[in-house]
Amino acid sequence: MDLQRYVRREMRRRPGRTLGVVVGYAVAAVAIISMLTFLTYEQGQLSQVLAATGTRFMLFTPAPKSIPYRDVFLDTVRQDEGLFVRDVETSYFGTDLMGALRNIASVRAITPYLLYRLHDPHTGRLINVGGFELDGLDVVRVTCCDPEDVTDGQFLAAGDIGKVMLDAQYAEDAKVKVGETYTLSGLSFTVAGIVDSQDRPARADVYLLRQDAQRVLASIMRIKPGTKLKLEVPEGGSCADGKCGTQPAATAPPPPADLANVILVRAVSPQAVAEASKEIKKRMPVAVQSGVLQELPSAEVFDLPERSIWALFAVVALASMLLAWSVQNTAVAERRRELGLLKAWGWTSDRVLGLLLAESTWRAFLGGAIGCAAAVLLFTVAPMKSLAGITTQAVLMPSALVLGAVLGATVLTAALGSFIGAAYAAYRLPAALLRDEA
Amino acid sequence: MMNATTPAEVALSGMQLAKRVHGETLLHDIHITVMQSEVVVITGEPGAGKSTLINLLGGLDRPSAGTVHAHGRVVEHPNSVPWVRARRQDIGLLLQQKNLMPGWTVEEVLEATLSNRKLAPDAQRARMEELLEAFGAGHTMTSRVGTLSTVEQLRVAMARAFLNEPCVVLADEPFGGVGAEDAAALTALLIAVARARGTALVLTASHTVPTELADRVLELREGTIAVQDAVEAAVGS
Repeated sequence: MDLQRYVRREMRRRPGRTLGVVVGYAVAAVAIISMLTFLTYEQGQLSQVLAATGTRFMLFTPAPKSIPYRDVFLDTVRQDEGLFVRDVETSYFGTDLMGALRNIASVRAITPYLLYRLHDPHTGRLINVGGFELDGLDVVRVTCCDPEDVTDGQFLAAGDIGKVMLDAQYAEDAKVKVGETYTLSGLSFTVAGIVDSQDRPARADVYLLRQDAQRVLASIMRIKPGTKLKLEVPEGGSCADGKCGTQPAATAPPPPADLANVILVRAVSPQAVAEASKEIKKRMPVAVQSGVLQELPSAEVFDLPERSIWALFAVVALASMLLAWSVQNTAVAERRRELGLLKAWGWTSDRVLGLLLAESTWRAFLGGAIGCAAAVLLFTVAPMKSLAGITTQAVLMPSALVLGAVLGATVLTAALGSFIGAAYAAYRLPAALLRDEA
Repeated sequence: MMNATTPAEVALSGMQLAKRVHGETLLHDIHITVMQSEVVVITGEPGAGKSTLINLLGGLDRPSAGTVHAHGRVVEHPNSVPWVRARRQDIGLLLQQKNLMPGWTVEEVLEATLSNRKLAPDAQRARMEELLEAFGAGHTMTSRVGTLSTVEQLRVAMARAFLNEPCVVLADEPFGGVGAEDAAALTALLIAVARARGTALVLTASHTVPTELADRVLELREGTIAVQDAVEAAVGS
């Protein structure tokens, strides 16, 4: 007769205890599955948000006191116009630098960005102009403007030279609509689309392809794109030609034909942001200083739900073990005579141990399985999202992983929790077992 | 009285057995040899050490000193494989009380005893029925133990003790819970079956037993064997 038959008999012989223990495990399983489901749901939602926001950042080089292009074009550029990122005036670099940065393992996407500000005749205030490359759309969409944010018209596409997109708020202030002609620094553009660029770190009022943005910048400076310039070397060195290091002012290189002042970066994960930033700075050690790192605090809290889950799991495992330990001790105390008789009849200690463990794990398995089914039913029938005040659209349901983990943990902890009591009984001398009860 | 001469005829023996618990000596310097098919009755007052001796001989407890040989094999720790094997094959045990699981059926009890032997289901069933019949409990097979009378339970317990065809059955005052008349009848039945099957029997009893049915009677006093053959002593006196 195999052990499973003894287990089934024992469970039938003591239906009250079996039911009590099974229900205990089932209730615990439902509670744990519910908590884990909420936590994993929260983590999933947070993960989605952070995948878009927690991985993005931008780097730029604050301009030295001696600003190269101002030294040359001071008479044509107003003091509050130029390559500004928020209120920080920046230096520029050649986009040929980007090749070396794209191979960094912690970087998912990287792209050059031209961001400057100028006085807008439409509104009479300073506006930001951003020039991006469509090749870098993966990072552009999380740092400045996203095709999904187009509220009217279309997102800029390849070959859209002579077209602009306007931020929704700015378009409203400037009273410009899609399809209309928009003038920027004396150059005419067609408004291709209106975007709600929200609060992204590299947001601008006007978006163009970087080629056009450079054209506008040149017009402000009253130079033509590709003009050879003589520049002062920033204090501490220059990366204007991609070779960082100190160079005499007299031999300062001209600005590259393709220039940018900002690097937009999307790391592979929120946790990789710091590593990506560090690696980029290694390759641009002097000129590129610490830029504006966005969303790092949120990246740092990214692990919290996961840690909570594991902590909860540990608590549950401990509780299950205590339950199993308590149940096993009670069962063994009641059945000492029985166990002693089995040993007197020739049962080995290992077989007695196997019987006790099998009983314990079967009860736990039944309880865990019933708990899993009850939890699924609960999340199917009850308005759990409403009760928890969750308003997001994603479906809230225990995952197979959570169900499997809880079931496995229930059985495992039951086995572990009952082991000491079972082993103590199984390996006692038969006479001791018979004597204790008698 | 039987006098063993060759090891092959020894069913069970204990040499220099002693048992001390918390500094108190329960048994000391016990030498006992039980030959095949021999019926040995051990008498003594309560507390003389009869149950302790049965526990040591049956491998339920560990002696403080001395060794036990079951069917020619030295057995040591009660949880060791040789002892488990001895309890499974060589020794049948009949304890003082509650020899059976009250919640189990007779069939389940017998199955649990035979589960250690690889017997075909038919052979297993036949042996169970035969022994129950031999002890007058043939009708109890499907009954729950707790529903049987004390005498019926004892009959089943005796059948169970013989189930594995042991070479020796150790019975520790098994009939203390029934009246003298029933006890005498059950004792006679036990001895008769043991003799019929050629199984050695060691039976302890604190009350008067029909010593004429035994081959040898030992008397325990204060943890040691005081009289080696009470039958002869009684006859002699």
